Amino acid sequence: MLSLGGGAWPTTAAGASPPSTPPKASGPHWAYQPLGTAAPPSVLATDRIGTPIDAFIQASLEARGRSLAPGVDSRTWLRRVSSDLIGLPPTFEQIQRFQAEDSTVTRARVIDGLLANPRYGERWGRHWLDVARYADTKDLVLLYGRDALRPFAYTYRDYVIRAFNDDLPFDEFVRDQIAADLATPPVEPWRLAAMGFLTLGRLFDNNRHDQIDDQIDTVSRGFLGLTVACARCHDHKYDAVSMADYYGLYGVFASTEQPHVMPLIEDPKTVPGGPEFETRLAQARKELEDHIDAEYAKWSRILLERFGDYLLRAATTEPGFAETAQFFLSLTPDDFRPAILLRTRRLLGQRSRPDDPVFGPWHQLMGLPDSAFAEGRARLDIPAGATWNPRIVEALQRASLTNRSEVASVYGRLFLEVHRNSRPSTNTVTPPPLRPEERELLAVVEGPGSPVVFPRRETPDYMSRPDKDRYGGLVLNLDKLAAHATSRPPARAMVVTDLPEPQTPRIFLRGSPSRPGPQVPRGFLRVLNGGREQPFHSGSGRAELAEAIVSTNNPLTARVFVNRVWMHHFGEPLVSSPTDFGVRGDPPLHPELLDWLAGEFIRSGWSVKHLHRVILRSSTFAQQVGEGYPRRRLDLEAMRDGLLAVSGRLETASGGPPSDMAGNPLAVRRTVYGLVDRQNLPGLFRSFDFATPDQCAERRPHTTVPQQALFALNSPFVQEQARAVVELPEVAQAHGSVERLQALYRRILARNPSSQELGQGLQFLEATPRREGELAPWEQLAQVLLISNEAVFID
Amino acid sequence: MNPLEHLPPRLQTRRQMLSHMGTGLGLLSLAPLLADESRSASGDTHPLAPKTPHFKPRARRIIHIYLNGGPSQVDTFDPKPALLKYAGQRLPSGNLTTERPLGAALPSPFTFQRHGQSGLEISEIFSKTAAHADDLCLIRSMHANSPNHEQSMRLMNCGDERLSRPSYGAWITYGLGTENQNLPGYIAMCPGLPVSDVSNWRAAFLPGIYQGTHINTKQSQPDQLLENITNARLGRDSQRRQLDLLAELNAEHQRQRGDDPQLEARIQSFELAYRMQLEATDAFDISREPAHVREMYGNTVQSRQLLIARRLIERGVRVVQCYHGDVQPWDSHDMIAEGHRKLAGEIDQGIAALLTDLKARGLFEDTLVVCGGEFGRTPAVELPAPGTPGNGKGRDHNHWGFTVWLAGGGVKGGHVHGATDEFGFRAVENPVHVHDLHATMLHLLGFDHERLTYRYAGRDFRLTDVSGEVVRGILA
Repeated sequence: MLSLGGGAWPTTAAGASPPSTPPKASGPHWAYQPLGTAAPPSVLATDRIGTPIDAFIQASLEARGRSLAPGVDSRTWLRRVSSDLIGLPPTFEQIQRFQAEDSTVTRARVIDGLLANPRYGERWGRHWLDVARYADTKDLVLLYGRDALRPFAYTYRDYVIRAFNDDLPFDEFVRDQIAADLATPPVEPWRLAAMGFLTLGRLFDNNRHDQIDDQIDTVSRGFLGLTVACARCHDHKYDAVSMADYYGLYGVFASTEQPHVMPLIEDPKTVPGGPEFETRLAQARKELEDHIDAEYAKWSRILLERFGDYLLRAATTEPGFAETAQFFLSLTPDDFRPAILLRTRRLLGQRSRPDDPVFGPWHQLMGLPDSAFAEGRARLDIPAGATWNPRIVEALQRASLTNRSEVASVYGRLFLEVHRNSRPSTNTVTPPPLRPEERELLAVVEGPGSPVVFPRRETPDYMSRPDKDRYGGLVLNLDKLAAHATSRPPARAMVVTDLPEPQTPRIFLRGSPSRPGPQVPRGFLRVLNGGREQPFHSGSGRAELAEAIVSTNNPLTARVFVNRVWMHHFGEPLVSSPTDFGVRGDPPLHPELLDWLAGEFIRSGWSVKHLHRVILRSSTFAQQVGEGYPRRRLDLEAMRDGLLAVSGRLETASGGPPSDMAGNPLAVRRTVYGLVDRQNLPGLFRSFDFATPDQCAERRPHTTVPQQALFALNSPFVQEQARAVVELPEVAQAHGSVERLQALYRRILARNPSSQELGQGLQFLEATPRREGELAPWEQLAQVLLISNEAVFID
Repeated sequence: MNPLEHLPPRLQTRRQMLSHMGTGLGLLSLAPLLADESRSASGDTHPLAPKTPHFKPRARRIIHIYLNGGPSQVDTFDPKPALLKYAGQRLPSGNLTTERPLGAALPSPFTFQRHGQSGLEISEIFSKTAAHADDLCLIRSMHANSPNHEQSMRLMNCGDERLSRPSYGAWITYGLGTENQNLPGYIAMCPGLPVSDVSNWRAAFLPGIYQGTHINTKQSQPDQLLENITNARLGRDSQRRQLDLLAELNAEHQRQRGDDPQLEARIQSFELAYRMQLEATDAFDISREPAHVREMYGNTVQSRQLLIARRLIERGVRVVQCYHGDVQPWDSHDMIAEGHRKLAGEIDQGIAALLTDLKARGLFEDTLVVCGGEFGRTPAVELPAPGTPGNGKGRDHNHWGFTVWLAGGGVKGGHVHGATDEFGFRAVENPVHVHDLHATMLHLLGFDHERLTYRYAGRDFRLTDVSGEVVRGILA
């Protein structure tokens, strides 16, 4: 893990990367190849073949002169499959019943029962939430403080849980998360919440480019196992992913936005207090929209009026720090807006040329030496055959040009004039038609690439500091209203929508937005399209992106997902880097099995439950602990939920807003419903290897650290469960210590104690005094069983 | 509806306490499986076991005195008499772009004197620190990327302004492990939370055990600084009895299953936790220091942090950060004369005491002390403007040039490296970027910053990304 050797990459900062070289040939790298179609091989030990998986595994074992390990007993198998599918332990009675009738048929029935249990979606939904870097809050604790909650984030979590419970085909699941809003026919409202996948990431200090990078990273590593974000600043060093690919996807997400007010996904009338809440929200929204409208009108006017100033500034100064760096600038009303200045520079860069009809005169006059202005009047010298705009020429000839700013003023005044003439005034309904030379000028002001006309959504970028602070407060207010409501507000989906005009992205040289390079079409990764460009044509391209991801020509999506399912059932994935199937990752352990599983997954109509059945009915899954099936400690959720289950406290109500769990020893909901506070992940979560919600998680680490033991020994939560389990009627009302001990063992470990364990328990009770303020001896004993290795390891 | 809000008051307090611990159980980063052994039962090197760096280190540990908010270089360690000459006038070289509009030159309200044999010029507000002038290595030519706190805090800690990158403390703990397995390897103390909060000490994609443990020193009871470090419902002897039963049951469970390092590791983790309960509370308990030592440091929360820092590194903790205070205390947009004097007064005596104390205990030679903020402040006054805090008596953020000083393991004492321009605005002579500082810190700890890497999401990452050059001129 620790790399002290060479090979650090990138090692130099030398030189700008080329804008985009053609992608490397897709080459022979296994992951880009079509799914293999190898049939399950034949084996000698046919009696061990439960599902085709076993044939692949047994064949590779036989090649080494070995065989699948013997199967486990009924009890162990039931614990395994319960833990895997629903994250809760089976009861003593369930185990007894199952032991009595264990058979292949019964096992299949047990698997089906667990898959139909609503607890299944809560278990497997959580696995997906790791990939989706799910959190209930924004980042920046100090900025947002107690207002960091994203009040409707939970609708994404609930969508994911329901999708797994409903066995929503995985291709549909992908489409929903990228483009549910674009589906034809429209999806049911609950599925709109799927787009939380795109909108729940970090805010990166409101840096849009970083937010898009996060979306690209989550989509590409999460669905495709490709580290596309590596190509933000230069072509991928190892994989066939170019900057053109990266910015092709960048354009997709840059052409979408997250609306301030998200669509309702339930009828407010069905929610107590719903209509009243909606009225308040509408008022808050109006206040925000009014503020934006007023600022939009103001800045649209100011920038038009000051176009001449911007032209002069751009022509006579070098780009300043504020234009090239990305940071928060506190603007006063008079300050030049850096983004406008940058766009003005770009306009002049393209058009200040001798033959440009509008800026040809500009080019000539601005190129004159200072002396030409100082010594008298600068004169326009119209070259023969020039097609200069007559309005410009006339105005410049009429003006007294004593310095460069006079030239800029002439341009500024003319641009403003034609803009105003093109607008209806108060007393004329239709303005008089513009002459061609006026239309030519108007195109500079209003056409594509205009530096000073901007879409309404960009307004906050130009606001002065107090107005911007007010804007931020009004936006936050929308979330605050919901977060602090006294009853649950009607649910809304954290969607994205397409911009009216999709953006054609430019490659940012070395990843820097202030260095825009060549344009590229919005489109899909070439390496997954035979090396050919695959441009998107419809709106932002999100729907096409989703289709490309689930296309049967794309072998990665199915491989990546079955690899994750395998990992959760066996502890180890087949491809050891589940979010990196690129050339730097390890090749799969059983390539033919991986491809067969991926193929089977697609053939089943992308049924995740089918995939579970194929795996869980296998002899491979039923092997005793060893090389093929490692012993595993319960993860955070299964550990905590298991404690609540045996203490009888577990509350099974599903869904809804999160509850604070880490700080509350009395919290009894399943861990998946606990508040995930992104910037302040509770210690409980962190010490038990919870996936970081900052970015798409590759896989959770498995650590054994003393904080876990401190939690087991000292936390009020565990002590609370010890108390609760002793209070259960079956324990509290047992006759005598022996029966009571038996009841405790059955409840916590789902088995009877051995005579040795009975002896140890009785001895402990005898040696332990009852003390004021301490846990009672029976509670201390119950705690020991709750935190024992047997309780937290699955064999 | 806000789950952060609708808790009973008692639980809320508890939650706040936990939340202010940042990593919370944060201790998380603590922890090694086996207290005093570097190898687990399976023979793998434990992730926090002490490790050998690339080459012989000059320093074995770091104390970072973090003056968060941005101390003004021209009022502390970088005197600029030219400001007096231009007082009330525009600087002839003009103002550089910072976050807010600036006006005329603002001379320092403080006097500077030469100190020690080296004659380093230091402001009166750090007169006690100045007594150690011959031990200080002033880098007067630091520069960063942007004049905003959030980004600059993360740059100073993690080498990137916005993306999720590991903090240098996490990198160092990853590279070196730690020397006391009963304590966290990397501890970040702050009375509250600095700007950019937990991202300052994050592990990002490095394993979570390398993350800094945040200790909120607003809380002064040692046993409340770490989550679950005490048992409210069992005395120590009762807990021992309980642990003995647990050990018996676990031993039998293990016997039936044969050798499995995972089972063994968890068994050991309980014994380690048991010992940690004592050692961790002890390390944070400065009441165990003799009165004269406590008096030497002084009685501010900032100086208490420095005393705890010494207790921690003495016990083998690898990286200790002491943030001056909640949010951004050194952010003197207005009334800088009063503000900076008060702030320096809170830490000056503590710094002097720490340096004295480290020397007395023979720890100075192999401990690297770093002191500075995320950036400096402008030599020109910040203009009062709507929506900005300036009142015409303070300075705006300045990333173009500022001072950070080092002392101890492997750096020259009584030394000045680099310089800002005539007015202290921009680093002009031997400029040292934050990446260069990081490269140098890693160098002093024995690492080639280009080779301390971690493979993640298809790349080998490093603290200095694609930059960073060791500042050879300051190496002793």
